[in-house]
Amino acid sequence: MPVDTDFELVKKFLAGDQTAFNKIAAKYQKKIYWHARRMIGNHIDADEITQEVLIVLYNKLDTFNFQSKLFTWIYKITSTRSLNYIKRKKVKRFLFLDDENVKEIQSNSDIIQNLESKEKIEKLDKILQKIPEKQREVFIMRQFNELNYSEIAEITNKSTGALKANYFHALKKVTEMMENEE
Amino acid sequence: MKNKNEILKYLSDLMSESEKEIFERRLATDTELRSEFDLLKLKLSSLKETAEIEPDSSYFNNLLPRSLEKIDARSKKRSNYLIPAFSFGITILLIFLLNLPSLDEKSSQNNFGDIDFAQLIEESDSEELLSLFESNFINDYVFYRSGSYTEFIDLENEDEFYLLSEGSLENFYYEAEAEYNPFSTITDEEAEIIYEELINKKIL
Repeated sequence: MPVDTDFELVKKFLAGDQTAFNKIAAKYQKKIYWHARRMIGNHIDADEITQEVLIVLYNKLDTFNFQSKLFTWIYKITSTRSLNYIKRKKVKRFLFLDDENVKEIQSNSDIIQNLESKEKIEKLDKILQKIPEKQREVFIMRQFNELNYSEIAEITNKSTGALKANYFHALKKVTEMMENEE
Repeated sequence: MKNKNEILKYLSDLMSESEKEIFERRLATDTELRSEFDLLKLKLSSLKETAEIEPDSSYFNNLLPRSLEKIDARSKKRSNYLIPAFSFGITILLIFLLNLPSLDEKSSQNNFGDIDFAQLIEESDSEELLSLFESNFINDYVFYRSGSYTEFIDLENEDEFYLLSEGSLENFYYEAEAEYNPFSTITDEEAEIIYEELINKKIL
């Protein structure tokens, strides 16, 4: 049975086929979650952002004009939401409005049950949180989502030159941190 | 690692075509560079292993139903707001239409520049003052005069002062509340502005 393309799925959903949206969500929800998780560094907030992105998709899919690929559009929404979240969090922390107790809850709840895997993820989360968010964004897109610079440029609205420089600095910091941990 | 910067430049695609060619030629012949290059690649690929970790499958199975529930709840909430908002709008419109003639009278009264307010207060009894206060006329005037109460309030008459100051304070209270407790309702755009300010001033 041939698999529907993103274009066909969006068309079907806009024509009232709910199952088409379920297929879009099933196809992209893991990518959305892991992108948000790596950007933010914990499960609870990544879960919140993933749901928000799915809601935005559901409500705004009619505004998608197919001038870019669907995944580019989805990454754009996820990345913007994650960056906004990080900014809000920084401002709240600065104004002492961030609840410290939440950190405790966050560290205890995760979707990774295996202890060894959990340790690996937490180690990665810690490393990623130590690099500036703009560098982190490019690093995640290159390293984990395997996007090329022109795709990342489309998502972030930045020049490929700036992205390359950001990626270089991110690589340098990440490898240094890994060396220091050894 | 001696060649780390060069390797990272190559991996980031920051090299020009000629630099890339030279680097690749060295990579084929220089064993030290080769081993450093392989080691760095290995380290980075170990990070990628985390992408293969399978999370609790029930989480992703429940993700979409939970999101759809939220969409449903929000649209219900919106429609719950719509009915009272619509009724409120209709009521306001009816009140406005029924009071159209008297509004004409009031609008001429609200031309503050033509009013001797001190005389108005002096001539009004406390019940009339109260109705002026309730119609927001006094508050409007207070703000119109930028808080210069003493020009039209007999400070020795506590009742009048109470009426005026209470109304003004009420307004100030709501304004102050909105001004000093904005974070509960801060939008992404507002957070962005605060963030940029803090970054510009090198506070964050």
